[in-house]
Formats: sequence, structure tokens, C-alpha cells
Amino acid sequence: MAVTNLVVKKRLVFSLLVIWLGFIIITGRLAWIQLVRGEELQRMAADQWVQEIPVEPKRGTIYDRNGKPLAISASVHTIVAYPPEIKDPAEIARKLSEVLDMNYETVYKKLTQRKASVYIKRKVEDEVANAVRKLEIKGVGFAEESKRYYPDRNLLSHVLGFTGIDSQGLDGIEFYYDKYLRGFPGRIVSETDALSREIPFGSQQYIPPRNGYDLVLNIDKVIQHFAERELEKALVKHKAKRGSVIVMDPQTGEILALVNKPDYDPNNYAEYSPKIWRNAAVSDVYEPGSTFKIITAVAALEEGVVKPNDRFYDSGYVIVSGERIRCWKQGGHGSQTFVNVVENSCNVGFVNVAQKLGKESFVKYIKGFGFGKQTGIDLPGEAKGIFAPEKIGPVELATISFGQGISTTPLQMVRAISAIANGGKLVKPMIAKGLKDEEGRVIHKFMPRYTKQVISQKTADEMKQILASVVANGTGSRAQIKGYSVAGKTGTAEKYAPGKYVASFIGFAPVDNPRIAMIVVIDEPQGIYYGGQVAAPVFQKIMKDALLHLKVKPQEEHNELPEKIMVPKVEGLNIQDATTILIKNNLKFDIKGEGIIVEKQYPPHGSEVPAGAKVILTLKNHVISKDFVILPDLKGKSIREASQILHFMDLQLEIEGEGFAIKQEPLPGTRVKKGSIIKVYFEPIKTE
Amino acid sequence: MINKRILKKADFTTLIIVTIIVAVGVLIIGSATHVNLPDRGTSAFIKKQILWYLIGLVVMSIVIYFDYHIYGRFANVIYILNLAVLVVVLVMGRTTMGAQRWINLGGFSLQPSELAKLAIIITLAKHLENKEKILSIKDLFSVLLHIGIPMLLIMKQPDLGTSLVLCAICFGMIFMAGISTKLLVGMISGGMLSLPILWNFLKDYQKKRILVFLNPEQDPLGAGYHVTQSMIAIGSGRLFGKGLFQGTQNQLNFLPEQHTDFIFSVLGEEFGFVGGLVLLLLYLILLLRFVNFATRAKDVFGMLIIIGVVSMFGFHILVNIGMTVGIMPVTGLPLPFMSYGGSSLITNMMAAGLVINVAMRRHKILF
Repeated sequence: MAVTNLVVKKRLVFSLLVIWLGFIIITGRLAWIQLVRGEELQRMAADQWVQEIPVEPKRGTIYDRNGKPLAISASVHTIVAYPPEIKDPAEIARKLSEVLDMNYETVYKKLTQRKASVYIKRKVEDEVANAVRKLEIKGVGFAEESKRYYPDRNLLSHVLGFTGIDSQGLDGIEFYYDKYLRGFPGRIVSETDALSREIPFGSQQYIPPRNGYDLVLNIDKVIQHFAERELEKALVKHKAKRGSVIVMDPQTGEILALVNKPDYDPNNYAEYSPKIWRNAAVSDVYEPGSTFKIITAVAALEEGVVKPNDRFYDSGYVIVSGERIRCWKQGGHGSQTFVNVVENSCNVGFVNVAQKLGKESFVKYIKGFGFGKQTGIDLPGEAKGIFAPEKIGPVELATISFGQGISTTPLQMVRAISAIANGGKLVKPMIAKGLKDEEGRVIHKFMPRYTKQVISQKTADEMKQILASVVANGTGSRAQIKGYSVAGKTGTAEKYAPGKYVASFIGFAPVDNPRIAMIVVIDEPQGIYYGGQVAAPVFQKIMKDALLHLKVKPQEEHNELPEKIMVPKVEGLNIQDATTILIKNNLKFDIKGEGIIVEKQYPPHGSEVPAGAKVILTLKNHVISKDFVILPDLKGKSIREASQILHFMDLQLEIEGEGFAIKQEPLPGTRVKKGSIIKVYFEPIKTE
Repeated sequence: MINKRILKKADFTTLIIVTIIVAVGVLIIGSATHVNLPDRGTSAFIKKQILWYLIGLVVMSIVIYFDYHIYGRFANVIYILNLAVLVVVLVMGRTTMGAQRWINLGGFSLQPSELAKLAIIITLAKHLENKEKILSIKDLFSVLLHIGIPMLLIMKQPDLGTSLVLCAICFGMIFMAGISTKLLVGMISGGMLSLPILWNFLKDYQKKRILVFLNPEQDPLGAGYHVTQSMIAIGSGRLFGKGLFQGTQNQLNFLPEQHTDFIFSVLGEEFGFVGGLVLLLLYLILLLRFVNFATRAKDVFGMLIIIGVVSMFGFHILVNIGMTVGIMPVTGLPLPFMSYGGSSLITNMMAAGLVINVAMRRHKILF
């Protein structure tokens, strides 16, 4: 044995000491905790299972801007039991379960819980509470709670949101301003003892709650009603999937109305799919399509790369980095001014504009108008939109110019149009106007906020006039309101699923002093899907009613749409140009005969007719026999137009020069054989 | 290899004490798993624990049956097998609560780090028996290497608690094997100095537990929650406790892990200071009895085996109970014979079997 016994013995003794020491320390510690600190820790243990009954404060009322209530709270009773005082739980459970229409087991379990107090049934109607009161059960009492009512049911549901069983805001404005609306709960504290579990009823302490503040919204219930009514009608008429409308005061950013359809009744929100709770106008993005051309146009005007009368030429398509981008109009719009480009919503024209503008400037303005960022509206769940400047190449630059390849919320769009309406200031959209206390004193005002001037007053004014002419002369004609000047822009975007469209209209009125800006978005209309035909009429009706409701005075006589219209000269033009001109002049037309050139018009040019009157166009029949045709006058036509006309007549074109036709050989009216070559001389036209 | 004469010397007192503790354990596990409340509780845990105990009795008998010198002869095989199993755990072990500690053996999970403790005790005892006195750094190094490899594998799982148990076992055995005082002092100071380095190897949750132990108020609802709740439960039990099934902290589930690591808290709450003291005394008697056996073992190998087992039990008991009363950090070491768990109970009964084995084969008295 290598180890000496002595060393081992010493160390064994030492080991024993260590073991003893360890056990003594543990025992000492145990005595400290259980004997010395026992009482204190016992109290802490009791605290953990003693319950306080919170007393709900009354939740604040939500009003519209004119003081009309939108969400109100009423007191209701909650049945509370104090298990330690319940002497005969089985009997009491039987009685209570009968009156409260509850399962016996559930009630029994609640009555026998090891708690100082427990809710039996929350928020019961008055008659039920009275029935319980008549039973006179010791250990069963009442707590006052409040229940939320939305008197107008579905109206404004997406803005209001709803509250849960504890009156806590769960969605919408109820959620966003919960801390103001909710107030501070009071409570009933029941003292208790962990061992005896006896609670003297009298030792309860009542701490009163502080009620929530009332919230006043910018929403105008009347306009909201107009918007809901018209949107609902349009959805039914066009069998559309859904739709949104936002009405805003463009000067301040105050939201006057906000609707999404389909909607829900916040009184019974749980009966609807959470999908329907979604506030699409704020939380969902869509491709704005042509309405976004406003941003392209205004950026180009502000940067000075285009002037309203600059000429653009649309041959029906443009090639960008090898990709062919088409205009929505087959065959293109031909030669047109910048104003025409906007009026016609010409894609090719906008691609040219964006190319002149360049990526950097364009991105600067898109960002400047707040796209790709939240607007900061006082509603939960706002989307940012999808805009990735770093991914923009020449093709994206081109498509974004007419609103494809960028996603925005309807709210962002209505804010952008408001910036044009109010002279270039980007506003912060606001739902809430202010807070009031129980006595009706205003305790806080949410002030309108402008983040910055995004474009100059001059550019904004210029753009306003262009947008006004879109409504007066262009694609937005269905938004016209008699007596008011309206500015706006249509939008029709094809969704990624083919054959599905988003039709929209965005605009404001009156043009000179805009009071209302509005966006109308109709998702997946069936049949006709153009923004100008689906969304513009909705816009027009809401706008008209809203302007009247706000008592906006109709404009002076001379600003009104002219009663009498001078019939323009369309003789000698090809049928396409002729009809375009007539439509622009607010005239209708009828066509007689076959061919492509207008031979005669009635009434003749220069005569005055009422707006919307018909002009009868007689077409020239060029085909005089199987093999011969009469040559039309090609003067003023572009190369493409001339080529189209001649092709239609089975003639061939020989081009001399470029630009627009000045003369032709043989002369107009000559009888020529089909298949002949016609020589046409072109010369560029100087702009301005 | 065994005769009836020797078997008669088997120490039944040890078995009785172990059985009493297991019985108390089953009672407390029952309370901790709410066996008294048919709708919330379950009797599955106590049934299983009793089954483990019965299996433990069989395994213990087998351990006692063979002369412990046979285990010594197979020390190298045991050592290598143990390493192999630990490697297998690391490679394909099942993960519970973020650590790979378990391997599945046909519907029943085994925690090899439990058995590893016994393997280390036997093989280290053999290793030390062959040594002259541990006088040189070289001797000490070979010992540290012997224990270091399995320890690293267990730390990797990561199972810090068991690694520390191995340290305690190693320390106790080296100490009793007669390490020179100089080396001992050197080793302790070396260990102290390397603490800051070891700190960096700890996982975040391990660091957090230690920091919370040093300052429990830092996080009363997070990492400190366990200890705070445990102390409230034990403290509220006061002198005589609230009675079986009457502990509010246990019954209302304020206590965490109340049938495994924090089983002592339930005992403290329901049986009070008196109950805790009785359990501590049972453990003390067991350990003192073992040390007594060690002094009378036939040879150094036998003595070191017992010392290893004593170190193991002592460390488990002091660290576990210390944890529940807030004077030790939370390490997740079970309380021997009390905590719910098959691997732990069977291993502990095997360890007790080893001690009985050595004790009943003493012909020669050490001094």
C-alpha cells in the first residue's frame, strides 16, 4: 500500500468534516428561509393567488367631425362570485346555471376555484342581472363593466375597428388610440389569507376608475355615407370583387371618408372572416396603373424637361432595351402635345417623358411624393408599398412611368394627388381631430402636418390645369360635374392574373380651390373594366354630393361647360382623327357609308350646336370599281398615318423626306389603279 | 466468485434507507404531478418511477453479485465503451431542452452521462490504484487526461452539471488517493486561475444562470423565476408544512420542474422544515455510513470506488438542495433517489450497489 495510513486517516476526517459542514449550511439556510423568513414568504405565496377584480373604466365615445356618435359605450353588469364565501356550491351552481343559461359543471368549477373572486358571466343584459339579484345569494355580486356599441353597424367599420371582451381596442382607431379611449381601470381588492381562506366581505377596497377620453374624428359621417352608398352600388353593378374609396381634405390631410367594401359589423366582428377586417385602402397595395402618370408628368414639369405644348409622337409602341412596350391604344396616338399625352393617357408618350427625366430625377420625385414609405396615418397596419429604386433599369423606368412595376396603397395615391391640389405640399393623412374629456372640454388637438413642399406652386398649378383638361376633354370625361371644375386621372391596371383588372380614378375639385381629393379603386370589375367607365362615375357621384354637402359654391357662368359648341371641321380627315376631335369637343357622331375619309359632315363646321349633339359623318367611298380607287388628300398626315390609309386602299407608299405630308403625286381626287405607287413628300413640323 | 457467506454480509441498512428516500420521492412526485386531481393530474409519473425502482433493484443485485475486482479487470474496456457511447450521444442524441443528452433505446431514453459517472468512478479508481503516490505533475496530468476526455464530451452535450459532478468525483478520489499537498494546492489555484477562461466556453444560458445566482433580483420573472418561486414555496411551508397535496405553490403550478429538479421545493412546502430536516438526515446517515465503509475497504481500489460514490452523491445533494434554497446556481442536477427519472434512479442504485459490493467483500481492514 503506497499511501500511508496516516495521510488517508487525516484526509478521511477532513472529508467527514466537509460533509457535515455542507449539511449544516443547508440546514441553516433552510431554517433561515422557513423559520425566520417564513411569514414573509408565506405572504408572497398568498399574493400570487389572491386576485383583484379590475373595475373597467368607461371607454371614450368616438364622434365624427360634426359630433355625431360613431362608437359608444354603455354600462353592463358582470356577475362575480367570491368562492370562499360560497357555502353550498352545488346548490348555487344549479340556480346560477339556470338563470345565466350556462353549463352546470362550468359554474360549479368557477364557484369552487381557489381564488378570492372569479367572473361567472361577463357583460350580461339588465334583465339577467336583475334575475340574479333576486336570487340573493351570499358570495355572488356584480361588477360594472362597459360594452361597446357601434350604432351605425357597418358604416366606417374599417376605420373604427372593434374592441374585445375587456373593452380593449383590437383594430382600427379603437386600437390605435386605445390608450386615450381606454382610461385607467379601478379595482376591487379582496384581502385574503392563504391558510384560512376566509374573506370578510367588508374588507374589500374600492379604487374608482378614470374614464377614457372621447375621440373626435375628421370623418364626416354624411360624406362617409355617400361614399359607402356609391361604392356599394358600383360593386354590385360591375360585379367587382371589392373596392375602396378615400375622401380627403387636400389642404390639411384630414380624412373625410374611408370605405372598403365588403365590410363588416363591428358589433359582431367575430362572425366575419379576419380577411374582411383588413383595411385595404391603407394596408393593401395595388399597381396604380395610369393614375401614377400624374407623378411622371408632374416630375417632368417640375424638372423642366417638358412643356405643356411639347410634341410627342406615339407609333403604338416603343422599344426599350429590346423590349417592346405598347400603348394601350392599338396603332398609337400619333402626334400629340404633352397635354394630349396626359389626356389620352398615352403609355408611349409617358415612356418618352420618363426617359427625358432620367432615373435619378424620377426616383427623387417618387420618393418625394412619399411612395415606398408609410404616410403615418393614425391607423394600424399601414403598408409601405413596393418601390425598390435600386432595381430600376431602363425597362422599369419605362413601365413605372405609366404605373406598372410599382405598388402603392390607395392612401399614398390620394395623398399624392392632394399635394398637387394644394399647391405642392405633402400632407400627413389624419383620421382623428382631437380628444375631449367627459365634460366635453377639448384636451388635445391633432394638428395637420406638412412634411415638405414636393413641387413648386407653379408646377402644381400647371398640372392642375392639365388634369382638369383630362376630365374636360380626355379619358376622365365621366367625372365631369355640372357647375364645378374637376381635375383627375383614370387608371386601369391589369393584374398579374390575366383578364383581371383594377379600375381606378383619382382626382379633386374644385380645380381653383380644391376642397376634396378622392380616390376610387374598384378591384376586378366584370365586363367593362376601364377606370374611366367604372371608377370615374363613382367619383363623380360622391364628389357631387360631397361638394353640395360642404356647400361649395358652383363656379361662375363663364367657367361652366359651354352650352353651345362650335362644330369643328372634320371633312377630309380620316375617320379616327375626326371622331377623336368630335369627342374632345363634347360632340357625338353618327357614321354613314364606308371608307376611311370623311367626305361630308353635318352640321357644317362653324355652326353652333348644344353640347353632346350628333354630327353626321358621311364617308367617302374611294372604291369606284373593282380595280380603281380615288386618291385621298394626305396633307398633314404622318408617315405612319399615310401608310395606313394607303395600305387600306391597296396602294403603295413611296416616302420622300420625313415628318408630315406636304404634297403628293398623283394629286388628291385622281382615279388610280389599285396597287399603284403614290409618292408623298414629308417635312418635319417645327414645334412652337 | 460469490458465496452465500459473503452475500449475508450485504448491507441491508443502505437498501432500506435508499428505499425510504425513494418512497418519499414517489409521494412528492405524486403531489407534484397532481395525482390527487384526476382532471389535471396524472399517475403516470409515479407508476413509472416505481417501475424504475424495481428495475433498479434488479440491476443493483447484479452489480452486487460480481466481485468488484472483476469490474477493475475490465476497466480499460469500460473506459473505451463509455467514450464510445458519449460520442454516439453527440452524433445522434435526441435533443431535449436544447441539449443532446439522450439516446433512444427502443421506446426508452437513456441518459449516458449518468452511467458515465459510474464508469469514471470505477476506471479512475483502477487508474489511481496502479499509481504510486501522486507526487509529480506528470502523475497528475495522466489523471487529468483520464477524466478530461469524457468530461469534454459531456460538456459538449452540453451538460455542465454532470461535468461538474465529474470534477467533484475526481477531486474527492485524488484527494483520498493521497495527492501531495503541494500538488493539491497547485491544482486548486490553477483551477481558480482558469475560471475566467472557462467562462468563455459557457453557453449564454449557463452564464445567465450564474449571473442570476449572484444577483437574483436582476431578473425575477426570467432566469431568476425558478429560484424565487422555489424559495417562496419552501419558505411558505414554514415549520410543519402545508400538508401533502396542500402546497399552493406546487398545486397552482407556480413551481417549475417540480417533479424533477425542484422536487425538494415541494417537500419543503408540504412537509416544512421538519420534513426537509428528516430527508437531510437520511442522506447524511447514508453518506457517513459509506465513508465508514471506505475506511474499512479491503484495498485502495475499493476505498476509492466508495469515495467516488460519496463524492457524487454529496455533490448532487448539496448542489440540488442548495439550488432550491438559493445558495447554489441552477444547474439541473437531480436529487438522488428523489427526483423523477429512470436513468438517474437506476444509476444511483447501481452506485449504492457498488458500495455494498465493496463493503461486503472486506476481509482485510485498512488500518
